[in-house]
Amino acid sequence: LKATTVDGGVISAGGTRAAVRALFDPVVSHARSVRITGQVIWALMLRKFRADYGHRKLGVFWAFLPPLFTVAFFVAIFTVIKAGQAAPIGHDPAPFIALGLMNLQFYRSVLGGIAGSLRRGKSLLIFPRVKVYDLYIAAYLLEVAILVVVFTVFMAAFIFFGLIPMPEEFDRVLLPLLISSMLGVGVGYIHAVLSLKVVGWAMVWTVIGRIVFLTSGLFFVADGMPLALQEWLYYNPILHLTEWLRSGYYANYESRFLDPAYPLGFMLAVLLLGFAAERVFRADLLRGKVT
Amino acid sequence: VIRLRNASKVRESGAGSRVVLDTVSAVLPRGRSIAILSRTPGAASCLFDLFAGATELDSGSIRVDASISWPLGRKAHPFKSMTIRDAATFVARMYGQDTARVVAFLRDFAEIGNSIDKRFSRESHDVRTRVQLALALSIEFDCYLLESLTLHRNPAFQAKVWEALGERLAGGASLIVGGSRQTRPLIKACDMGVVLVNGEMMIYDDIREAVRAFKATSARRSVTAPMRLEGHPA
Repeated sequence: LKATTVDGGVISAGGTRAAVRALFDPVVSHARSVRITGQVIWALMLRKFRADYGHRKLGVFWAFLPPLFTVAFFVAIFTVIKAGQAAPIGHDPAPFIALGLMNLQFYRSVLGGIAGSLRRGKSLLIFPRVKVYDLYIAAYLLEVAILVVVFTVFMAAFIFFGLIPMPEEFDRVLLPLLISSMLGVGVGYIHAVLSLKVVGWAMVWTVIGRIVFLTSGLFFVADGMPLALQEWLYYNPILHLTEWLRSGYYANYESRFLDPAYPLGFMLAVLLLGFAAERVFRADLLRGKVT
Repeated sequence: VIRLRNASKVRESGAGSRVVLDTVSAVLPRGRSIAILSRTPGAASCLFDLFAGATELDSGSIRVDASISWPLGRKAHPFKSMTIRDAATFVARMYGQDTARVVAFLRDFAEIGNSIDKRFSRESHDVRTRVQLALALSIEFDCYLLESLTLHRNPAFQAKVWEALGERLAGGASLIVGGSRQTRPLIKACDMGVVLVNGEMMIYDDIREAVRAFKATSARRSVTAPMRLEGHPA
């Protein structure tokens, strides 16, 4: 066995083995580090899952309770106000509200998970295998995994009871939810930095949260709003995503308001800004000191 | 191997900020037991934080090419309100180990009896330290980071830990030891030394030389540099 080196020399069999090893070493060590990162993220996810749900009697069932009660509460209000009138689209208000709420929840839960993951998890950075991005990725994956389960169970129940049909185009379900969650990542980073750097941000944030809650289309269809209002509502990317998600379930509903490029572009911009802000202020975030 | 390139770090604490590293470029070799000698308060701990990735450099880069343990012998623990069993499971998963084996090792080594399902934060300092040491020893690291040579107040347990560490050292592992109150035991435990003075890092291949240099610098320091008073808590 002989091999020619780059400079034309010939090396022996032992040298070949060394050369092959040298060639594959980066690949092997890369595969190893990917495996280690996977192990760490998995361990972090299970740890956080146990911390969030493990010590309660009902366990993960707690994840279902808030959306269940929220939907039930607003369905009750819908029923009382509209005196039995049907939901804006479809026959039943429950799936209509649930879709809006779930879409918003993909944004809000991920946002909360990302914004708090460094504060809650920084003590774990003392383990040399745990890197900052592992904390973020674990927080994102756990929030999304729980929401996917909750969402699937809710929708399966609605479909089972014949309240909404099975979605025909799954991209209309997956894409808006994915964009909502990634929007949560970007805003989560920005929120974490601003709450550290801007005095009184908590107050501003509360107001923003309320505005987002009211304008994200939990209770209305954008097309049904006055045109002057629609012009303002256009700037809330989550409303677009709500309309997008609903168009996946209500086969005869096609939103005129929806502009898929806007939430997508908004999400990418916020994500870029968020990553940059997190990287620049990471030392401050780790110190956790309000300045 | 730990490589520092133009590394700078100022450690900020309640008692003011102190320079730990000032554009240091250095290589700490693999397979050697290294003592970190410094009179800057918290300098060794800060260095360990940097090795472990718990804090970031202000500038420059650090690269750790070895499987190092987390710093052992600290009061603070990362497990917060996890149960001891959960902590063991977490560590085992993170290092790709069999969780049952790690829990069994922990039970056997730490001698904590029925405390295994209790919350970490509710346990005494004694138990927490036992668990941390047992967990670190349940994983085969290339290098163990020790905040000081005294790892546990209980002499029997201290001896047990050092017996286990001795086996690891015989198997090719190494130590990095911080804390420099007593240099005599350090000379026994380590074979080379790093002296940190005013952000400068000097590496000595022989631990005796390092200790000598350390004593000299600290003596000079006491003459030339007065106590820092800025930001001192009233």
